[in-house]
Amino acid sequence: MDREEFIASGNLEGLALDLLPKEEQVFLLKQVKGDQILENEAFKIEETLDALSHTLTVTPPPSLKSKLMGQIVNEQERPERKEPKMIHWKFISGIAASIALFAIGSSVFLWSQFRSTRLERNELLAEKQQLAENLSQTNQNLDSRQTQLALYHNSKTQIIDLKGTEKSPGSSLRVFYLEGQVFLDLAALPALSEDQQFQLWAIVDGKPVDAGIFNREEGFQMMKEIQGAKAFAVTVEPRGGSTSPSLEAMVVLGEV
Amino acid sequence: MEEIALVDCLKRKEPNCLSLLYDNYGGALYGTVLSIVKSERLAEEVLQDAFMKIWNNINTYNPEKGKLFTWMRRITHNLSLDKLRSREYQNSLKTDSSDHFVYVQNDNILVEEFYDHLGLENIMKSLSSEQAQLLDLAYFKGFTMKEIGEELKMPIGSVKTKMRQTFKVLRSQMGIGNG
Repeated sequence: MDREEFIASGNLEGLALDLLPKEEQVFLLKQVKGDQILENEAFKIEETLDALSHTLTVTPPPSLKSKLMGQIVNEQERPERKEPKMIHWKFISGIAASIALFAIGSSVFLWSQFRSTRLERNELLAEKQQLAENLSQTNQNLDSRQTQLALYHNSKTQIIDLKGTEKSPGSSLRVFYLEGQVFLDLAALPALSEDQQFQLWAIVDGKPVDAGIFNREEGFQMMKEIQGAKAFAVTVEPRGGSTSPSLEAMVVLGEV
Repeated sequence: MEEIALVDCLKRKEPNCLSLLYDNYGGALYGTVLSIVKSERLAEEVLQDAFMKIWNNINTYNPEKGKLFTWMRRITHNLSLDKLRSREYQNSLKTDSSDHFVYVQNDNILVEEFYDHLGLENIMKSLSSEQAQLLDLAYFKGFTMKEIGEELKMPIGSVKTKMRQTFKVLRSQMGIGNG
């Protein structure tokens, strides 16, 4: 799918509004990432939603702000408050004071129990959120592993090992090619400067076709769909990619 | 105050900065929540939760991924939809129905009934009734593409491209260019 089609498909709106299934989101986000035109388009959509929010402005009741600020200040206070100095009171009035002491003591105790429970609750909530984030990361990894496994198991998958060129003999890259779908894995590529990215090219009918940009540290990933590729090559391009390959900057090459 | 300075200040946990943030964005976020939960009582709850979440999670905000307001709006929007799906909300629909919007499943009536907020009314008028319904289901009711397709008896591909068209109109209404 080229950029124009990608934009027209409504997938970017689906991403911004979280309307798509998780797996689809993961794949689409990979395509958007690093592509300045798509990223810019996604940004405009968020901007539209931001503007929509501003259009909806309604002044909240003033009591809400004081409630919120109260809650913030409350949470910032440390729960350990010094117990009031009760020793003198004991001497002054016997039983009455002990009752008062008991009452105050138990309320201080209950209060601090309450505070520490609330603190624990907040810690648990934070922990829960961390776990949820880890789980989502793990699920993404699992999705990616399952796709890899499915590729290895599919007899139609062509595995192409791209070899380093004279310019970069130590480099290599593995491409999985299955009925037009292109995946990358196992890269050994040179480090690039901040303003550069790798770009994968497919050779179709003797002409190079852009198959997407990627970074060295990214693992297994899906690239653009390309039919009828006869070979694949990777060049070093300015960040964001180029429309035609810089042949002198080719690092790996392999035939299908 | 610049956005970067404001974020830094929030990270230092200075209540004054939350106060400033609230003064600047509270209204837009409150209006957004209200347009989803359609109840002042519930909207106040959601807004308070949203600001607490913003306050507690400011360290997870990444300026490279977008503006501060976008991040806050996403948090608030998600919490509003959570509230909409909650048991509390479903129950409150039964008890204080006067406080709530009643969904009328009729295309013609939808745009008028949808929301009587002046700003939104103007935007809705610029959309076709189908586009207004798409925006309503996707943004204000939290339906997924698949659910919208089922609701409108439309293939997902058409829902997506129509959503794109809806956003094109919205974008020009908001004065956001194509550059």
